[in-house]
Amino acid sequence: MTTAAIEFRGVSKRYRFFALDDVSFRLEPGQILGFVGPNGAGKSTTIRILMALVRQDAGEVEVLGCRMPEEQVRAKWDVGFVSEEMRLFAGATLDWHLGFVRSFFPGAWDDRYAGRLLQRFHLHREQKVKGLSRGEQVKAALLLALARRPRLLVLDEPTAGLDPVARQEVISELMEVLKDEERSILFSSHNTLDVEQISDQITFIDRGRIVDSGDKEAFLERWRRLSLELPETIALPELPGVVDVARSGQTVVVTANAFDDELPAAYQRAGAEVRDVQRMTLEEIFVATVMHNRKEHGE
Amino acid sequence: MTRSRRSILGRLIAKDFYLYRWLILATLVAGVVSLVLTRFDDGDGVTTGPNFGFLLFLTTIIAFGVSLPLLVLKEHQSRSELFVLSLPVSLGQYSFAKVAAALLAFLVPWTALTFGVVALTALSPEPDGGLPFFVAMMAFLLGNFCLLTALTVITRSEIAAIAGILVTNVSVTLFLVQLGKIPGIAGRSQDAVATWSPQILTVLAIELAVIVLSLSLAFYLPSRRKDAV
Repeated sequence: MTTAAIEFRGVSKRYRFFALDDVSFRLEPGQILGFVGPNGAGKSTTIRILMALVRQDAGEVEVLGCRMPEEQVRAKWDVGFVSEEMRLFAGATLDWHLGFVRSFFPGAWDDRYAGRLLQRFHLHREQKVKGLSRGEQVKAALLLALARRPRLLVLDEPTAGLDPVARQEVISELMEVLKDEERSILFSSHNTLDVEQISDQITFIDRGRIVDSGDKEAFLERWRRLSLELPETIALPELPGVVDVARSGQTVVVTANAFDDELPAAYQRAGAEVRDVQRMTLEEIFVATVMHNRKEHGE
Repeated sequence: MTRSRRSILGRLIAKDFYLYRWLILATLVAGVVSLVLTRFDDGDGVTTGPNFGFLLFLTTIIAFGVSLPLLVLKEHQSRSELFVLSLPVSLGQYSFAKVAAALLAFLVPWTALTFGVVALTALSPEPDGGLPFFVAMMAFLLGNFCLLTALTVITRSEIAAIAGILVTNVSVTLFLVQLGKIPGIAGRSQDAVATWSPQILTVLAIELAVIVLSLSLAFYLPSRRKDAV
């Protein structure tokens, strides 16, 4: 088994009004994991534990083979981290920041790449951070993380609060970076459009628990929404893989998380007319997963 | 301490010195200007220059001693500390470097002004009797800075910092009034030679103890913290 870029095993962290509960997941080298959850789901807490900003109460965390938080300094040599709440030093120029980060990574720092990113992001070395817009600050932080050529990129809601153009620029640059198949990325967001664009693995988190995890294409493939017509006198059979049934008169909308061709056939045999079978967007899948999970836990 | 750990701490301290550079320079300039002002005495009992100079000197050191801990707090509150902690730096190293940088930054003007005044007074033909008062006052200001720094980095609370500023500022006046009454200091400012009485040495020893205790807590407790945020 290869060393995972990130491995969480039974990680818990308890606060007064929130608890991260038995979180386990694994990110393989070269993969891009979209870490999706509503606000307050535990995404940032998970990432803080991952970056050793917060110590877990229980469980084990390994980043690039280093135990966290004990071996955090060794791990961080190969990790680039950008967070929505992170701020650069307002009174210093971008050039000073470049020099500061470069001094930590004299071997790995790629000055030419940093120059290219400056141009691409329309940033100037002489600019003071306090003169940058929010979008430019995110790009600057991303530049500082990318130019050191890390093996693992951890991005905590990097596109939050950006206008659509700035968001697309950041996503495009990330797509460019993804060409390097050795680099792993953990991309946390509540914006499923961003996640859908760049991720190949998806993990959903809600109320401190991982609610589903898997390959993005497999996710999109196994979730379907079926529109049925069914006489009101006939009961809809309970079938495996169905997570939600909404019935209004003769119209029934069924949401399934384990769709195969047998499902519409089974409904037809039960006397229903299958009007439509729709693929679902990641956002719809995310909402359905969260709602189903909450219902299962009686929340 | 390993070489790489020293090197990381060195970079973090250098970073803070860069960010504090204008503040350090302004304090040095204001300190020197205020000391020059204390010399403007026309000799016929008019002491506006010396009084203003002394007040400006005190204000400069106090303001500098308050600004540094507040800047440390600001880095935490503005989340710039997350940027630093994204680098190969542990929370312990970061906390240690913050206190070390603030202390060293404070010591630059403090040392220059304290030793400058002591050396100039000792070398000049003017009376040295006021030196114990001056040294005790400077040590008190250093102690206040260390206390405030410890309070700020341990609590990371704006309210605690403001309360600390109020208490330490009020304590300066009380301390100076009481210091002036101590035998060996009272009425000795015009003596040709400084008298280091047992009482003044006791005051200095207490100040030293406060400094050592505050710094020990400021270095130790935050480095044991488990969570940065």
